[in-house]
Amino acid sequence: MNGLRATWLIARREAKERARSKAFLASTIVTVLLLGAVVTVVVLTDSGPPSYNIALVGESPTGLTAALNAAAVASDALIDFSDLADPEAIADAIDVGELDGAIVDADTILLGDSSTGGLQGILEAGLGQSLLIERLQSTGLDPAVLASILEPDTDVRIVAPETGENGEGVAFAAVVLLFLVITTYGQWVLMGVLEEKSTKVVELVVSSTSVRSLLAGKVIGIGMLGFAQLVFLVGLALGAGSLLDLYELPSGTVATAAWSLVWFILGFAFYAVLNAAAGSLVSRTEDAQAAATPIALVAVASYLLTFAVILPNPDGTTAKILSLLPPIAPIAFPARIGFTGVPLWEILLGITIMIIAVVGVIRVAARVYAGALLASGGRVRIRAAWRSAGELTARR
Amino acid sequence: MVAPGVADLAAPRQHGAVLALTDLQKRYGEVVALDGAVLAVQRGRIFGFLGPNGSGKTTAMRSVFGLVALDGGTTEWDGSPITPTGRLRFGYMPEQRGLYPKMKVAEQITWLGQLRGMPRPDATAAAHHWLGRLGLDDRLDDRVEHLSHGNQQRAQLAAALVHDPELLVLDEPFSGLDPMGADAMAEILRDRANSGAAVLFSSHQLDVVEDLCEDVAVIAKGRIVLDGTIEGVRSAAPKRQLEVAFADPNTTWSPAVPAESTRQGRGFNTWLVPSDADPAALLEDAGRRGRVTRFAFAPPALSEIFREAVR
Repeated sequence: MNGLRATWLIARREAKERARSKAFLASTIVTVLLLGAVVTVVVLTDSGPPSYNIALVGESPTGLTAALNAAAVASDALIDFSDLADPEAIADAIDVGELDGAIVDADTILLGDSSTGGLQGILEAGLGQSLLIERLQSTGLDPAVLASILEPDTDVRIVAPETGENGEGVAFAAVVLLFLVITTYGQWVLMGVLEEKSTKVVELVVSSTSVRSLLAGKVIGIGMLGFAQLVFLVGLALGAGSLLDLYELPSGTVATAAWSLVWFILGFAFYAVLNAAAGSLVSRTEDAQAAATPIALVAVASYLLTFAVILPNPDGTTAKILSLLPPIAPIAFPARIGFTGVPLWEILLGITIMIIAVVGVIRVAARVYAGALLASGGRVRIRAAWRSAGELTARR
Repeated sequence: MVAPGVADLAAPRQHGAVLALTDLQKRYGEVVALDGAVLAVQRGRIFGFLGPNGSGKTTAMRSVFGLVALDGGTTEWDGSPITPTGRLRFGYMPEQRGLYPKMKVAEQITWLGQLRGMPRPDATAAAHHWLGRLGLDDRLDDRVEHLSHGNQQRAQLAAALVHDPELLVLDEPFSGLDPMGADAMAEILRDRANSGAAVLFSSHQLDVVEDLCEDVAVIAKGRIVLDGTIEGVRSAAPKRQLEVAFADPNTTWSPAVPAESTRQGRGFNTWLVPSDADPAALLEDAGRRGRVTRFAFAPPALSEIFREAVR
């Protein structure tokens, strides 16, 4: 029979059996919850400009309100004015946090502990400007001249590249989701290989097909399931956002999501094949975790590096170089794409390097897998597996 | 049929053989598993493969399915080297049984049928047929892990049979079966052979082998030490089993040829004597000592031959 049919049969079995399992249901629910948490954080932290509640007491220069509003807009903040007028009530309100600050008699600024430096700047600027205007006007200066002095006819141009606003949130979500899905399904490959080996069913299957088809079918089947789950989650996140109008997604979100799917395929292939090789080297669950530890460590390190180094400065040279490294690329690239515009050539370079790495990993890991799979007993050494695979393929 | 026996080891019976394993060599480090083993299995016949534990039976059987990297030798089917495609026509019951524990029984057997190239409807029908015949009709939708050990064994047999293989290779199919299970297994093997399949199985139950098989081979330390038809092997044995019983249980007598006593009891004694001993002379000699109520001079049982061969 041609190997493709066998591979497809194996892949379909894997996907079907696992989709029915409790583990799949549990992992889907957990991921939905985690994604929900991430989205909530994004919504909360990106809930628009900060808003301050302040009160004006006693004498105020004319135009203070307008000046404060202008200063707030300049700082990307909003202010609301309270009706409170009694100084003691104001002090109390600031104490309990109902008010963020107040201006008393145009010469005292009160700020609550929780107030940020932002509000202080706004109040100082607004008060200073309105006092300045009042004093200049009192010298008899023509209001028109005054206006031209205060509002110079400046041409403002934005030359910085346009970045997706709130891109951090989407990038953050992409990193968490990709890491979760890639490692979860990679783990399934590990356990699946081990199950076949420990239950000895592998002898029966391999007697009817090739080791290669078994490996390919397993990775493809579990990968299809992971891909379907990722599509579902991304669709859920995007759909819920736009349908319920919960949050406005930054412009780059769809592109990030699409790229995430591409990177999932590459990243999953990379980690899953390594996991399959690790699983084939052992015969017991206890040993499997140990055998896969180096792979898990690389995945976690990639995850942490993405958070610690790449996300804070996604356009830096370090980020660019790190994100080209195959173990990191599948997590780092979608994050960078979500965060800032990454030039297409860079993405294509990353994908090319990744594909080369995946092909290399498949060649090495598939051979170890082939050699170790049929060996019985405790742990198989990688070198022994490598040698015996050579003999097997030569003879099959 | 050529007269078989120890003598034709150098030239195994290749005539009519569909499965031919020649000069198999395999060592695991210092341990020699196969040391030139030769095996020829014919269509429509049941071949019993005997040998002590660790003598190379399983390794030889696995080599048919490409599950072992041989150091030397050839595995041929119908005159050409066995290919992965050719193996789809073989059925295998590995020594270490195993099915996917969480998969439903009928689905699993169907899937294995498909894996060997059957279209899905055929595979489903065949899976139901065999599981029904093996008495698992009401367990079709149970997960394998919920079956008893004996039922798992039956499902394992169905996995080997689902695609009507031309060659059945069964590693210890009778181990762990109750007498009814063993009878059912024997009936199925006979039935398969009658429909033209070549059947090769290993066993430690020599009485089963003696009943069931036409052909037999004994392997020891990776080499075939005895090979032929059951009848041929027995008659070619260098010893005969001599049984003598006297009317008076106190009669003492022993044969006048080199004899190895295998049983001494109240008037009923057995010996192993050279095969060229003259039974008429022995009977006459015994008759002079007392009235003989029972006398037999026959090839030894397979178990006797087996012990002799692997010694």
